[in-house]
Amino acid sequence: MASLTIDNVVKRFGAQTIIRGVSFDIADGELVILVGPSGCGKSTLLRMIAGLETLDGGAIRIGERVVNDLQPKDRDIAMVFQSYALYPHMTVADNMSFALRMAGADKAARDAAVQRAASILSLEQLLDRYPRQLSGGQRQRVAMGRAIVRDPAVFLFDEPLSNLDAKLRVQMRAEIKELHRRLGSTIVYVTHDQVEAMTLADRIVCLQGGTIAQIGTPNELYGKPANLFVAEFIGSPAMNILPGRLDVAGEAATLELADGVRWSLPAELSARWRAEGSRDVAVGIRPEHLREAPARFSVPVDLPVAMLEPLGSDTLVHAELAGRRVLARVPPESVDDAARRIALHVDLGHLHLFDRVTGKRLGD
Amino acid sequence: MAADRAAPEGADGSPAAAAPIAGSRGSGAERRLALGLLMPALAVIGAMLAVPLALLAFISLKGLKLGNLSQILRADFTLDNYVRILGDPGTWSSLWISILYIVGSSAVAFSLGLATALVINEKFPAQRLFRTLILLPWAVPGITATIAFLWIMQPSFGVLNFVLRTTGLVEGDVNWFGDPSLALVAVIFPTVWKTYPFFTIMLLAALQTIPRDMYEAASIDGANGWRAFRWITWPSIRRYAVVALVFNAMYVFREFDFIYASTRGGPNGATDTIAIRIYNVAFEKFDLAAASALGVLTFVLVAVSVWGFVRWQMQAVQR
Ligand SMILES: Nc1ncnc2c1ncn2[C@@H]1O[C@H](COP(=O)(O)OP(=O)(O)OP(=O)(O)O)[C@@H](O)[C@H]1O
Ligand SMILES: [Mg+2]
Repeated sequence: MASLTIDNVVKRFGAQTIIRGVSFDIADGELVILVGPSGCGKSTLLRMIAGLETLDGGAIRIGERVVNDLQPKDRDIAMVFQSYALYPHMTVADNMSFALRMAGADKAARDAAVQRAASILSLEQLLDRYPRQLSGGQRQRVAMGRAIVRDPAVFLFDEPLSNLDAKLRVQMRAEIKELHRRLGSTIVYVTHDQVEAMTLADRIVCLQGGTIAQIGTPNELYGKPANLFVAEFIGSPAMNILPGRLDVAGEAATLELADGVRWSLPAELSARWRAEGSRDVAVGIRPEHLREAPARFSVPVDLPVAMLEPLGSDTLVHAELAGRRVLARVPPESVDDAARRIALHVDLGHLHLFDRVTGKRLGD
Repeated sequence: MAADRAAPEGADGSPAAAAPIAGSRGSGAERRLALGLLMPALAVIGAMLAVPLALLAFISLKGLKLGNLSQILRADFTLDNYVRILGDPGTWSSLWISILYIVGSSAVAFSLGLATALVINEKFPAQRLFRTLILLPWAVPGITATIAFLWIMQPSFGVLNFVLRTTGLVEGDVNWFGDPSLALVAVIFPTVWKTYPFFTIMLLAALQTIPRDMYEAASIDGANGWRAFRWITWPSIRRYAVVALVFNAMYVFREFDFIYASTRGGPNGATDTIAIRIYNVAFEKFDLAAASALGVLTFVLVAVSVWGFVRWQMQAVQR
């Protein structure tokens, strides 16, 4: 186990700069998830940590050691590939013990390590099989077993669950979480999947175009997105964003949206944004904060309904607010299938305001 | 004859296969249809292979060294030809020379082919051009290649000896094709030149089936360079290598052009492979029956050894 430091790391492919000076620290035993849209450089950053890509600037430290110029094998890391990259001509046991074999460990030591990993992952029955004789989930497990056998300082996962079907994904997600608790290992984990990021991470690093959009716990990113990009990226379905204007007059503040929609903010709330002064803003409302019941600070709205998406546990209502399509998440029994309009309550206490130009979060 | 046999089979197969494929019966009908459809082609190919082979076996069992077909038909059946061939020490020396020739040329051609395949498999500029160029020797007729090598390896003014002399590796002229102890090595030169691209292409195709992340995983696990080759590359291309080696061995076993155009089996029988011997027995000694017997024996030998070798290799791969 070890901590990991990414210090102002830069990566270029030809003329294109893919990673533009990224810095963050990962504590010993922490599980950090890299998320971001496709092509934002998540895999590239992970591969730089692994030593599969060179750095064009900055430094990567594992523990106290700068690893920039170390071979992958000397970095004390293990990587689980999206494709698993199991060696097809080796048995499960040989796959798992390959690194130890290359390191010159004797057979007894290798067998012991394989047995230990196999029992952690319930692979004992599969040790003599070849990868082609395994199901997708089993292969995934073997790939993790191969990493565990090495007992590395840092585990690297690149979208390890994306080749599994939905049900297996949920199961393996839970297993990875359990494994992390049990082994207490330092893990860097890349994913596309919102839910994976929210459920697994100690902290999330949200990347945007090769820079960090925000770092924080899942709740911080969800509850207080630092900018419009994170606000729209984290959360599914995504946050509703409406253009508006914040008017501050002394103690009072009003939000003015299109189509003459005006919400005056109670004093407790307006205090949050008074310092910003009057300005153009982007108003962010999560679907669950367009509620069917009133909250402590809420304003009633009556909206035309465009479409319903029943999810079972909730129903997503596509409605129109201030000239924009918005999504509301409400209990299924609160909407009638044939409803043309719906009465909802905007939870002002959970509004997010962003600078319309820079996209930065306003208020606390 | 082909059409005769194909028609009833086809008629048999099609109605059954037209029925919905349900349960075990469907697959049986499917198989019959497939066989029926294959039958005309099988019959033609079978006739083209089987008729000459049968004729060969037939001639080899007749007690007439040379004659027209009606004379041969009238001759008595006998095993004399086989006795004559198997009792001739020349046959056994030819077999030994053939083995040396195959093993020697295949070993060099395989190494060269593997090396070029590994190089071409790396990314570099003009890669496609190289891939095409490397195939050229394969397309050159054997006779042309041999004549080129006769010049290159000419004792007094050939380029090879010139290089060897100027680098001080030899003194005086090396008579490559004329020296009985060197002639086999000499004919291996053009053979390798012509056959190595086959290995290059086969092994390159195999190399390209290995995913990149296999090497990345291996480099994390501590296998780079030679160890990556030993543990990842070689096991992945091994099957292809075996197949290529078998095909090449068969090709070289019946190789005729290089040797006949350069040494005709000489000097002093030094390059007298089985293929050359069959030709000489038939057309120099005019003993067609014995040549046929040798041909039959050769066919059996090749069939058995290929079968055994492939089985052995496939078992090794399974393990
Ligand atoms: N070897 C390479 N040569 C040139 N460009 C590359 C190379 N590898 C990646 N890139 C580019 O770098 C950018 C980031 O790629 P990367 O694979 O890190 O994205 P990602 O965030 O992992 O995306 P995804 O979520 O789709 O996996 C992409 O625009 C990609 O085209
Ligand atoms: Mg990726």
